[in-house]
Amino acid sequence: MVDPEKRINQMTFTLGQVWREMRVSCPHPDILLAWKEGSLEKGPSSYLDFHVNEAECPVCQAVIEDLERRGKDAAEESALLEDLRESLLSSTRTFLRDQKK
Amino acid sequence: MSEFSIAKLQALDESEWARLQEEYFPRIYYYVRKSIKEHQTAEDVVQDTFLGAVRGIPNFKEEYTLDQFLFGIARNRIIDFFRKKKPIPISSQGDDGKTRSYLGLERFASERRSPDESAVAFEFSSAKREALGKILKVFVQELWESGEFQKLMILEFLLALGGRNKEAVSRFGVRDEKAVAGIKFRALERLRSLARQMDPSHEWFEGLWKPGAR
Repeated sequence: MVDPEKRINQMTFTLGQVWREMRVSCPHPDILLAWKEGSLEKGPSSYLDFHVNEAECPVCQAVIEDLERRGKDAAEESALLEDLRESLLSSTRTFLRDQKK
Repeated sequence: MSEFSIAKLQALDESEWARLQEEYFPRIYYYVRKSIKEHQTAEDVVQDTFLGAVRGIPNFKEEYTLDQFLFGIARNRIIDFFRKKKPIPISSQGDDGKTRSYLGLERFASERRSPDESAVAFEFSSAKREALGKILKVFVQELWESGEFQKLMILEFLLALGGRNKEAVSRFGVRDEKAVAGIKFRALERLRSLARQMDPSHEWFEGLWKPGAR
C-alpha cells in the first residue's frame, strides 16, 4: 500500500514536470503584449508579474523580447539576428536536402 | 500567429520550413539566451534545435502545438549543453529558493532528478503525460476564467516550481501553512475529478479507482 502522502508528493512531482514541459500556464502572446503595454486588469497583470518576472518563464520572456524587437528599431540586434537567419536557412536547407536523398 | 502545414513540414518542404524558421528563430534564440549567454554557443543551440525539429517532425503529434514542439527541443538542447559542462555541486544549488523559477529548474534539470523521481517520470507514459497536460490546461483555464489569479500563482509556485508551503506563506501573504496545504489539497481534488471525466475507461489513472481513492 503506497503511503498517501508519498503518492501525493509523487503526483505533485509529475504534475510539476508536465506543467513546466507543456507550459500549461503560459498565456497567448496577445495577452503578454497587453501586459507589457499595461492594459491588463490587476488580477491577470499581477499573475503575469509572477509568471514572467518572478518565476522567470523563459518561453514567455523570449516571446516578449521578440514582440518588442518587432515593435521597435533595434539595428544592432537586427544585424545579429540577420546573421543567424542566414546561417539557419543555409544549414536547414542543406539538412533537408540530405534527408530527402 | 501564422499557421503552418504539418503535412508540408513532414514532406520536408523547404519553403514551409523557411517560413517556420522565420517565425520562430528569434523567439528560440531569445529563449536559449536566457540560459546560454555566449552568442555563438546560443546560435549553435538554435541551429541544433531546428535540425532536431527536421529529424523529429515525422513523429510530430497533433496533440501538441508547434510552439511546444520547438521550445521542447530547444529546452532539451539546453539541458544537453549543461550536462556536457562540469556538473554544478549539489551543495551550491542549495535549497534557498534560487532555483524556484523555470530558468533555475531547467538549468539544473540534469542534476536535480533523484532515482525516485526518475521512477515516477518513467511510470508516466507519453499518453498519460498528454492527458495530464490537458487536465492541467483545463484547470488553469478555470482559474483564469474565475479570476483566481492568487490561487494560480500559489499553485504554480507549489506544483510547477516545487515551492514549499512555508515559502508560499511568506511569498504570497497566505494566512498560514495549513491554508496553503488546503489550496493544494483542493487543487489536487479538482485535478482528480477532471482526470475521472477524461478517463472513463479507467486505464490512464488506475490509482484513482482503487478502493479508498478519492
